[in-house]
Amino acid sequence: MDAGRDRLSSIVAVIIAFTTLVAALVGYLQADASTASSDGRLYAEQLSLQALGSAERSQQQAHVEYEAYVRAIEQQTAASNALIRSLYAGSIPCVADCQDADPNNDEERFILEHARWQRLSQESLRLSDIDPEGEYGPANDPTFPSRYFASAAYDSFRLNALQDAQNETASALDARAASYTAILAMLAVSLYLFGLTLAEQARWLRRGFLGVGLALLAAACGWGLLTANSAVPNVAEDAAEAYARGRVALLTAYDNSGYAQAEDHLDRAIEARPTFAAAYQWRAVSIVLAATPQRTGFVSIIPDEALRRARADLERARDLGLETAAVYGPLGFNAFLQGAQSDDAAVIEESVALSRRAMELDPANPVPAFNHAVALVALGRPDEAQAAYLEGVEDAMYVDADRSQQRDEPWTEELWLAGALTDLAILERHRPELAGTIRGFKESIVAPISGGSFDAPSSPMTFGDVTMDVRPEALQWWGSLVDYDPARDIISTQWYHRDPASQIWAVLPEISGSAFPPEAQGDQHTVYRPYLNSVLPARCLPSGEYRSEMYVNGRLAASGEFVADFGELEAFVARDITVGFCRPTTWLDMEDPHPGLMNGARSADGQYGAIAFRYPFPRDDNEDNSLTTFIMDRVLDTFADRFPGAPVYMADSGTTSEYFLGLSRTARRWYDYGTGWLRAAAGVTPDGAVVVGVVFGPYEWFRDGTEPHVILSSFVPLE
Amino acid sequence: MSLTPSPEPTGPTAEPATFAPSAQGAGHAASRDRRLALAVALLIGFASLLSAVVAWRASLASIDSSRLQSLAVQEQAREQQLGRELEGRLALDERLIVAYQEHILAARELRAQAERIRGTDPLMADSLDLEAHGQSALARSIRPFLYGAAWVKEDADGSVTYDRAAAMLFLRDLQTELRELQPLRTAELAQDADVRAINLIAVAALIVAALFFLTIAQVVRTRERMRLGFALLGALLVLAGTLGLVFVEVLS
Repeated sequence: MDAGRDRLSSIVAVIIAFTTLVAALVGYLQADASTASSDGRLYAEQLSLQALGSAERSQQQAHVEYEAYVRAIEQQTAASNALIRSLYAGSIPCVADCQDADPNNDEERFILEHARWQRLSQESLRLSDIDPEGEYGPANDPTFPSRYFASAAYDSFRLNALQDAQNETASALDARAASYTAILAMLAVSLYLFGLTLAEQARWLRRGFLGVGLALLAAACGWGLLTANSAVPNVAEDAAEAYARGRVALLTAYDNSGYAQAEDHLDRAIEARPTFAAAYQWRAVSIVLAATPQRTGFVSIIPDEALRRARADLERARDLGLETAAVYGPLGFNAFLQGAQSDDAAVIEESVALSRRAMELDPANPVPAFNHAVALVALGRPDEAQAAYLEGVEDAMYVDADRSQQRDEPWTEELWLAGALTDLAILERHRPELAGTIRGFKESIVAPISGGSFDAPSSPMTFGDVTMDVRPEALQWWGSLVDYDPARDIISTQWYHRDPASQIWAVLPEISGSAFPPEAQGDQHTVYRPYLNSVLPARCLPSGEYRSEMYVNGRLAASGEFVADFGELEAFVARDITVGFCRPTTWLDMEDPHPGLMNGARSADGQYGAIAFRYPFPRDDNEDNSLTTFIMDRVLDTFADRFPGAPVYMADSGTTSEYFLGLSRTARRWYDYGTGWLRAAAGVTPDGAVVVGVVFGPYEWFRDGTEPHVILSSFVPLE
Repeated sequence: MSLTPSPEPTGPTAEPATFAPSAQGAGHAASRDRRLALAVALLIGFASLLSAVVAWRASLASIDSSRLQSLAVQEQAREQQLGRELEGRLALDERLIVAYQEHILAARELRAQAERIRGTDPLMADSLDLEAHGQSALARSIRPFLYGAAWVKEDADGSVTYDRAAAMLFLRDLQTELRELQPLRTAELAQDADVRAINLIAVAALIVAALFFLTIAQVVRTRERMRLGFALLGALLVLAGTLGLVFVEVLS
């Protein structure tokens, strides 16, 4: 017995020594992991500060380049000003009441001034790294300078990605250090139990303590080996670079191919670092934007395949620890879409929970509240939906949590309202039996947001015969309003476009809302909303189905639908001349515009085109359009080389005076240049300049179709 | 070490003969003693494992605290980064507006001068009109480059105002990330994690103290009352430690 006890004591002593050795080793590994983890965290902090500095530095640099570029454009305009002065050639052109020549208006002097400003402009442009024709220049970026500024943010995106990777590595090392701590605690306990084994007299207790101690030792050794062999993610530089490229591409994209390019970059980032949560989140954004037909407002129409892929990416981002409203919000909406499409109540329930979580994370944002509400409507829980809509409306209308300061930003509020209305339209598309309920909810959210108050008075106003018109550059309705009181009645027009693939009506937020009340024209009222210059980048409306819903103090008082077919046109914008128009997609911008004086677009062969001129003129008190026609003739004569032939006024067709850009003293004339016609329209601006718009092309173009007329009528003022 | 081993402490025979109870009483005492030894051993086992768990949780809380502290610093840097990007955008607008306003005011002034002399010097008035148009053109050439052009308003006196607050509100409305960043809240969470780590260390100290008393109860065999007292004290401390763990991890 004694020999047995001694033998056991010896064995326990050896085990204690072994345990101590293991503890020392684990202690070393724990210290090593802790140090590496704190180093990693410190490095992540350094990277965050570097990103801050880099963002600021690159932004400042980009602003300097940008200001030099703006200066160059300003100088080009000054050159155009001098050119205009030189065109007067020693005298102010004589329209009526002719005066003597102006001895101070020396053509030669202004020509020299023109040359001087042009030279200066070229030099200023050389000071800037912005190449007008380059990838990020205005010629290739309809949202200029957003692409240019986004490209400057590349380095800060890369540093933020490295910081994220460093945090992930540090977290893995933290987990490793925590495991080692637990292992050390187990080893300490086992050592204690081995000590008790030596001290204990009773054999069964000794064996019990020894057994538990050994079990703990074995578990500690096994856990230690597993922990030592567990992988700690490396900081992948190439993942950070691909991510930064993806983010820049996403910021600078404005069409499907741009978003697809962003997705490619983010694919590579994920390939290089499969645990990159932010890359999954932004890839989900790219997938949705590449697939949706919507180009403005919040995206609600997402094709099935893109919806499935985006949802998978968002779930992966969440599972990797990215628990933000930017993840939960879209996840909630995607679940609603999937549930509505498949009529699956369980998925919609999931959407409710996800949107609720997004609301908790970003309580001031009305979007998750509206997503939450529409899911509750789909589930047939109207009372809860009403409460959720109220929360969303309050988030939209007020900037503070205690609802004391109104936002007073009609455009932003309409953006949210349009998103909520489109979501209800999606639900109506899948659940037509809910149409009545959906209409009620639409009215309940339009009323407060349109009127800026929850106490909209009831109104007896009704619409008479309302006509709707859709043109590539604008939408409008006109009709008689019965019992209309502008002081009492707030009319909110919500314009919808139907996506041909999904057959879903989506609100066009930029031109919808109550910010533009109807204008009286005789006994008729009109709401005219130009679209071309309301969206960024400027766009023309596509052909297709349109709908308008007119709400009076929140009550849906009228609605109508319209099918438009005017081909595919894209926007041309000349902000220096304050004119924009819709043109065929094959046309190109003029290579030799005169800023502030002349700009336009032509077909590649120069046979078709549309040009706008802005011609300043001294004050002219004549009430008729003699000044307008005079300048029209003069610019067409001066710039005759911009057309296939010299335009000659067709006196037989006469001069008409129709609406043009809302200008006064308007005139329209036909010109013939030998191989085609030129249709010109002009008018006088409030500050006395004459704006001339012309469309030219071969005879058959004018004879065989409506396109030239659609283009000329699409001219919109940009001021 | 004695060559004559003491008898195995396996029961009542180990008790002093003087106070030996009756055979039946000795049997009860032995059984009670055995039960107490078993209970103390089980308590030691439980407290040992509990102390390992508490140490692990304290380590996790401590790691959480340092992670959150670091995150708070990074969030603050990111918040600054995003905020300065927005501020930078508006500052750029404000710089361009200086030139924009200069042209607007110049055009207005030129027109006013033209009106004043039109009666006496119509040619000069026309020339000033053209200059005014030129200044307006220069202003128009700048306006498209203003990011927040929607918040630029020209007052009746020709001065230009920029609603910076509205522009900033709009930019912030579009910035979900900026709204979500809450470095102060993260720092508070770090502090909470710190407090939790400290509380868990206090719980661990209770359990270690319990182990100390239980060990004494396990090894002291001669004084039953003292043994029982230490066992009870140990058990109470184990209970307090367990409740402390539940309180720190679940209720607080």
